[in-house]
Amino acid sequence: MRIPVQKKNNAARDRARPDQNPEEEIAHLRKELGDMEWACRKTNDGIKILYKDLEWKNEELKKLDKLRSKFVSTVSHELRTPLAIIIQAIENLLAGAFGPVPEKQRLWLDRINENAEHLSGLLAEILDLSKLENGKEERKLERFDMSDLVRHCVDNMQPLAQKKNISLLLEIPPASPTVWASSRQLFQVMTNLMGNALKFSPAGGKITVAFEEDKSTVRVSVTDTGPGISAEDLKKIFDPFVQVENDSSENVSTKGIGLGLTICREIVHLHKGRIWAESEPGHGSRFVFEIPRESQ
Amino acid sequence: MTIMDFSKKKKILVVEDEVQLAEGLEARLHLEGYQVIRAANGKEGVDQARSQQPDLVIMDLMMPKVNGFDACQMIKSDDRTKKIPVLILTAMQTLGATDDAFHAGADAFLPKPYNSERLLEKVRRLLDS
Repeated sequence: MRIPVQKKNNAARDRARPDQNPEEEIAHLRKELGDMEWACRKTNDGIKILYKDLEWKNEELKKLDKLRSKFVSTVSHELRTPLAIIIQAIENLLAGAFGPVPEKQRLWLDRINENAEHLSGLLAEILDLSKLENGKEERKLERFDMSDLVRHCVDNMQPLAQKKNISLLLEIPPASPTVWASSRQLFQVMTNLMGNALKFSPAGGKITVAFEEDKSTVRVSVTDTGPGISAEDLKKIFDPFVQVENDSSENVSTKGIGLGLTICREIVHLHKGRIWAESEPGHGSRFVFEIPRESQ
Repeated sequence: MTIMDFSKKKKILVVEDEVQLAEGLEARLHLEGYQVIRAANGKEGVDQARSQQPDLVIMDLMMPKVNGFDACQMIKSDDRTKKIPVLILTAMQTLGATDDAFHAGADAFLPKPYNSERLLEKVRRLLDS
């Protein structure tokens, strides 16, 4: 808005030639001044309108943010309760609380149960991401031994790996470093990365979890012998709702909604760290994350 | 069932305002051989804990009248009931809620929806301790 005024000013000077009659010149300048005043007033009015507009938009954004948090907590409570009732009811039926269950009915109850559990997992994922993106996730930072956490995760996954006939290897240096971070969140990252590796590895495959550290950072990598990821997919693999196509016939109840890696990325970023994937189709994938040992 | 059998059964108080969930929980706990009494809100829960002296309280957090945090605190600050373990069961799945529950004196915490096996594991552990 300053530019047109300046232009006018120059134009006024150009036109006020010394050979002009002084009275004419004064009248002319007066007119120019009037024009400029008018332009200034208009600009001022414009700014006032813009300011009001901005204030209003700001209020709207605040309202939206409140609505969003309310939505998250409502969804959390209102969806969890009926789901809890469904799961409890199926588990009661399966446990024989209301009499013996014929084999065919058991098969279908198992399927309902599996899907209800899956729904509950998806709901947890959506809420987790929503809280992370909203900055509403409360983090409890603590000092803990990172290699303990990695070992704990690997132990947790071992039964599932054995079931799929996949060997799970752990490479940990003898000296174990401590970190200042959220163990709950990093556990979630580890579980997600290892869960993906297990999901995409064929029977007889191998998953290696390696752990490295230097003075200021710790780095964990999960390497699998799965089908690998194309360069194009690698670019967007951490974006929400992205799911890499894979040949193994997955059923609905094991399929995610593509939020796992996004959650990992958000968590690692919260720890001021970085996460990336390396892969070549046909040669497996390697997911790595690195965080400072003293993340804030 | 003899009177002796009945008296040996551990008594669990379920404080839950969602009737269907309370009924489901009751059915499962019965199946495992526990005696179950119920309360539909925090106030009733505190009264029942005092008068019935259960071996364990399973409590929801968001309830009318007196909520689970306050009810838990009341149970834990009363000499007649403070030794009874309290297991909090809730759909409020935030770290804050967990911290508040433990701050209110809760002995264990399980988010909804829960897996029955995990719940029973916690119940057994709390009853043994």
